[in-house]
Amino acid sequence: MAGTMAELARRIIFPLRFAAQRVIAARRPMSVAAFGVALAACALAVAFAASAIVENRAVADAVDQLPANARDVQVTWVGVGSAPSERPEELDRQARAALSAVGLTPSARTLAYRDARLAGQVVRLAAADNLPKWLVVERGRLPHPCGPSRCETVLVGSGAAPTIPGLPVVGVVEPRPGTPVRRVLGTATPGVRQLLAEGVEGAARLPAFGSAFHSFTWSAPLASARPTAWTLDDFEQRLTRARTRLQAASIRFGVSAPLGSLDDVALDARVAYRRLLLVGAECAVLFLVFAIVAASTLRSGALSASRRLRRFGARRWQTDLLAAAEAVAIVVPAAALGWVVGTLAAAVLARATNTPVWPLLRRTVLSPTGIGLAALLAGLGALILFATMRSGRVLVRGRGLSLLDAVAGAAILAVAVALAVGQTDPETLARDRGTGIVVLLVPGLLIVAAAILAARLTGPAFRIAERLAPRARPSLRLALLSAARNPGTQLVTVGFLVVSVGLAVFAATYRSTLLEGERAEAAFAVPLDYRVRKADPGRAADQAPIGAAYAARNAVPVIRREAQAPSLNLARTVDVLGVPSEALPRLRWRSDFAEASPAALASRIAPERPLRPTGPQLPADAQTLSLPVTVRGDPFVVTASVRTERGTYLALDLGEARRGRTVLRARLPRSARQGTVVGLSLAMPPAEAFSAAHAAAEGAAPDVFSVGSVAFGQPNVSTPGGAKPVPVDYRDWVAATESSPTGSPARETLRIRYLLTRERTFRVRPRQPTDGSPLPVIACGSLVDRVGEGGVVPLSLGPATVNARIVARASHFPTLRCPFVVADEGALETAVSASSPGAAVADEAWIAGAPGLSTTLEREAGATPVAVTSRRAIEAELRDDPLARGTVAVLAAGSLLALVLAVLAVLLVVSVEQRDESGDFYDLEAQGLAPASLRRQLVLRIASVAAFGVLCGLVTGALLTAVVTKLVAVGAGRAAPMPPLRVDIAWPEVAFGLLCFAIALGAMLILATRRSFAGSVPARSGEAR
Amino acid sequence: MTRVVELDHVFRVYSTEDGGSAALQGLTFTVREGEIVVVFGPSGSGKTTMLRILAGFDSPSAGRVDVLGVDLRRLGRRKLDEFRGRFVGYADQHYAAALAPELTARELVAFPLGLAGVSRDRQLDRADALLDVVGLADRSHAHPYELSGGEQQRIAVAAAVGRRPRLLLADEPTAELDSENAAAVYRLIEQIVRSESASAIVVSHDPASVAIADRIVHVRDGRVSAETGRDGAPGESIVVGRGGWIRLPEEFLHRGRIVTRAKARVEGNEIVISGDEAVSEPQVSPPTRAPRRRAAGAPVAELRGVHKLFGSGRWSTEVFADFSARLSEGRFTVVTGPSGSGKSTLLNLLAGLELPSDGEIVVLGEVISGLDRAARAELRRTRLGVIAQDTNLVPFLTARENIELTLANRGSPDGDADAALKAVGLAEQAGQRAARLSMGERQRVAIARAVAAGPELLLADEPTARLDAANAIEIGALLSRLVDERGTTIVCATHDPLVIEQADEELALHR
Repeated sequence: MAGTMAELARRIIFPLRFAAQRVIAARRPMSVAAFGVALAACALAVAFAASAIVENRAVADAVDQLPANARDVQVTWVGVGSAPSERPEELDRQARAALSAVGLTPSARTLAYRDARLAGQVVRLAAADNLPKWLVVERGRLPHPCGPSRCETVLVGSGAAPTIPGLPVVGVVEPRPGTPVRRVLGTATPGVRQLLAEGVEGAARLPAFGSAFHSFTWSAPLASARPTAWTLDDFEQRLTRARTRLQAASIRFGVSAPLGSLDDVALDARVAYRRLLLVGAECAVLFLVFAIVAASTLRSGALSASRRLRRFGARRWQTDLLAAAEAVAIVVPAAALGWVVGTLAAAVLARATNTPVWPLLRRTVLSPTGIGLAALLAGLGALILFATMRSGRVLVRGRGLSLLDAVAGAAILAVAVALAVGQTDPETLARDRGTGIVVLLVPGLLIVAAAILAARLTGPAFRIAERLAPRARPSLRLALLSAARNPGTQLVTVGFLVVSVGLAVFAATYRSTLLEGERAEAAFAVPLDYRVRKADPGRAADQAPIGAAYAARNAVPVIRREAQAPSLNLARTVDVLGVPSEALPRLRWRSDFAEASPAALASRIAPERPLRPTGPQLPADAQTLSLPVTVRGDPFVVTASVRTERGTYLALDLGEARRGRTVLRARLPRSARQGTVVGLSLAMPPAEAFSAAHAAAEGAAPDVFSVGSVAFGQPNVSTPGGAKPVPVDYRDWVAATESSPTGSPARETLRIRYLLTRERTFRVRPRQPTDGSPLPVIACGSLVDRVGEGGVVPLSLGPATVNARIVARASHFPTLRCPFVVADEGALETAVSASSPGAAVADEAWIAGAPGLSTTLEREAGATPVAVTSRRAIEAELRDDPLARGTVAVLAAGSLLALVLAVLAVLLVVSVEQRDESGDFYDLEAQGLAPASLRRQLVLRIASVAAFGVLCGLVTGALLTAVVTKLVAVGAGRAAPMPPLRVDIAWPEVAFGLLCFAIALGAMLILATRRSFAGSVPARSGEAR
Repeated sequence: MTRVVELDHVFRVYSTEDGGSAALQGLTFTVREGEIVVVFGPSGSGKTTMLRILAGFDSPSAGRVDVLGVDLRRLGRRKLDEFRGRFVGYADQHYAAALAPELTARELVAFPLGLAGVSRDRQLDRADALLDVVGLADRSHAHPYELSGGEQQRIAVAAAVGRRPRLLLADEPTAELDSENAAAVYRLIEQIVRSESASAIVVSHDPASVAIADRIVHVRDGRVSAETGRDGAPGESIVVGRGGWIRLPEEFLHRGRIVTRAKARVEGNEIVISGDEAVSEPQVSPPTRAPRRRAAGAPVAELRGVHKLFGSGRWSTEVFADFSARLSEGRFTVVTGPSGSGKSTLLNLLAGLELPSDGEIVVLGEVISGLDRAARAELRRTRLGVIAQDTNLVPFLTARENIELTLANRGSPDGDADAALKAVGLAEQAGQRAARLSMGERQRVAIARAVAAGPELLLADEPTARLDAANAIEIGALLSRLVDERGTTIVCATHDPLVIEQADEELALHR
């Protein structure tokens, strides 16, 4: 039995010892393979840690960016404090203990009493420890610590200091913004004096406030707990436990922390983290495919060894053991070394980014997950190596379908399904912001399919090349024939180059796409350099168009409104934008926004001449407007709408018109002078309207209305020089709502019949150039699809209704999301104002200008409060986002890694081909082929195969980027960008990368082949060098 | 006696791009326990395929294969490996591929024993004993690439018999051995078979192998055509296949003027077969001419005080010490000597594929030992022809393309590759890729390649080592014609008497 066991042990050990001998003997190819595996493992470790660093940085930045008044964790206690357990020192002990339990130390303690009437004055007394830290003294001095008998105070803000016995005011102060003292005082209330005392302990014992309702607050900066992305959940749990413990002691305790906003940040950071894992997955794919390449190059040697063993009577398990031992000997130490180096690199990276090193490493590469991942990769790599070395030759030539074809087909099918799902169910992708498992899998699947397809094409491509060059030099012809007929390792080379170059191009192009996306996003939000909006656009009708303030800056005035399109039954309102058509070519435009150019779009919506509402012009010296009116019927009030020279709309109340002939008058404000009368409105007098409303509310009457007929005469204005008639031609006037002529036969008299209710007014106005023809607009795709190009859609902009004719389609337009329409600004104002004067004036301006103008533009807006947005600032903000920076950096590193591995793979192939073909080279040299010629043949073969692989890789990379860009909804940061990302092939980077790759490859080929052909005699097959 | 091997109508068809290629076409024969069967047959006749099937490395397309009472077709791969490991010893024709370059000769011979779990001491003892039998005790620490072809072949045979297999399969085990070493190998095989009551099938072209044969089987076109006992009748016993098919020997066809049709009639108890076509003269075998010594010309190659040392230090081997020789122009010189005596090294030195450790070598007026590697390649390209011992044709090129490549390299792309292939009897295989040819066929392509180039000096290393007698005679005649018709000088390292008898002079080397 013992003998049998010993024999079995020897049979096990023998292949292991042979494997060791082989590994030592074949150091060169195996070390290259091991190096590649180590590099890939290192990259994966770094990508894993970098993802967490980026995630953590995002949270840290979010903490830093919290508003000053929301950065603290606060423990509050509110009550009277009558029980012994509610003594200030007891409360203090409990609060501090609770904060300490979550890793916080209070930086401030405050006390606030409820407003109290003392000595006839209402005061709000508060106290804090260490007042100098929180206050700026404006007058007097800071108070001494508060005591029960004398408690000095300082007055906060302006006003007379109250005189209260025991609470002398010794100075006037202003709390620093965002500090706990600022918060404890709350909002100033008129008539309430705010006093501050030094020291909570003393202030809590003031006899005058003995039974007053008061609150204690302990504040600790959230940042002092150093919350990280991965400790946020734990921090929240500890905070909940602290809150529970405190409230168990006293229900009057409360704990607050600004964690709500951090949760959003953490969620977004998680999205970015997962996307970075996409790059990590890229590294993993590289790792595994490199393992396959390594295995393929070592395969012939391994199979030879296996055959030898079988010839000599080895059992199958012994040959398996040999291959497994070699695979493990190559992969496991290399993967472990790579992971260790990656861990060190991650530590350096963490230190450089101020990320806690040990927590990061424990969280990532040294966590059980990280170690497991490394072990899994090593195991998987060894398994792949073993399986490839032991597998039979995989045929990818001929007409038959091989297993690889099936794999490629399945991969393509999976991608097609994923894309189909992405198209039909965008919500699914949007839910996880394009970082779901599908997206993580798609690149790998595509790459696999492309690699197999390219390998399939290798033979035919080189066969064609060989037939095209029948008279080529023997070395070239031999190179082409070898690639065509003896693909072997070369297929693997092509496959790996497709993978590595494809991923490199993908990484570079995706990075470029994200950067371009940031620029496009900023330009989309701010089409020129600055976008100035009224802070309160609701009051737009009362104010001058915003563009007027920036006339000197050649600003583009923009009208932005929301409209209903009931006929289209849309879920949301339609954005209506009015932009001067001539300004369209000036906007930052992306060619995929519309098929037509901005200039072509502009020409389609541009009116024949610049449009503004037309009507009788008021003289420059007019002071009063008078309008003769003859009424037969119920009275009504008349309002004249005047568009001022600056574009503001005024409503002039001309008074009530009663039965008979009267002259209605209104004083003209200065701004109305030289204005244009754009219409007259008839409405029920207020008293009648009120009565009607009252009656309707009580259900007393179905409705009340006023009817009759009226004749308007020629209006006049009074001027310092006497009365002047306002030239008017009533024959051109129309009823505003119907846009139909009133049919007035006389130039100077307008006769109309009216019927007014409390809700229905009647307007007449001069005919406008936009009357009778729909407003030409550019519309987004969904609207065009519903209405059809050339179709007319009625849009309701408040009381105004405008018929818009779609004359052009644009998938996107700066600042807008579909559904939208864009019209000429002047035409839009004219069309809308025809039925609702002032309902469409420019409330936004787009301005081109140098950097740093934001403050100047705010100042130039004058009294109108405006919000200025800078394109450059948005771009900088997007770019400075740590998630964006991390994504871009990792992508750049990924592309670099892919190229390095590609060079290594080719080096590996060269090394192995030289070994495997040494017999052929020997024979050819024996036939007289010069060593240089043989070397040239080898270099040509490898170079042409590499070129083919690189070409396929380029195509694959572009395709991959297009697909991933389509699927990954988020931009470089964490939000879905608008406009959507568009593939931006990084030609300079790709060209530079290819150049570097070519140089590195050329150098490697020269170095790797020089040694083999440099000896004084050719090496025989199997001879060690 | 128990039947150890029983092949019954075995077919083996390989798929090629040009369709199926039948290596075996109904092969039927048996081997009994304790029997040594020597199998003769031309290259490409299916001998190696048969051995591979018997060893379980290949499986038949049809037919029954029983070895030691086990139907191999019913065994899975794992069982086959186990079966082979326990019962079968296999000495491969591709001996170089069978020897791990990482191991020494001693370790290689001990290798099968190590796999079987034999203790290290016993492994090495047995290896030393076997190396002694095959005459390589002094080379036990050399790696395969430090050994000559013949030495490697002996190592491979020694390794194959190390485990005392019940069935030994040896594929041309003495192809590159001199008669003395070949005899040692045959003795080893016989010793193993007789002492262990084993059986052996030895595929060979060497007539000397008959010495150990209990029975001789002739294989042609993938089936057994004839059988002869070691001490049997003077004529071959023609094997009658299923359905009465017989294959007449080539000589019978020549003599009977049979080309494509024949008549058969019964005369008494005999069947007389005669040609049925008008053939003017009986086609006769190539002349096995009596030696006709050509006059010695000017020296075409000369070795002056050559020393050649392989390796360094303790394990270095000196092949030549102050060796001088002169080879004359327009003559057919054979280099003979036991394996390891330096025949291949001499040819490699003349070809400039090796450099002497000391001394001077002049070839075609050039001091080749003083030329750099590129200049030596240029000399070979323009003036020499080399037929190497281990033929490595470009595997993915066809036989014709391999020759065309050489011709194009020599600046004569219009040379007639097909004619060269026809001269070595491979006209039909011209379009076959080299990788698909048998070893013997590859060797003939290599000869055709060298001949087609029309070199001034042709260096051939064991050109007939893997050829049957008929082909060897053809090749010998071809080389002889080259000398006569083109004035080519030929230096040929060989053990083959059929070649030696064509030579003008013999340069015998000794260890």
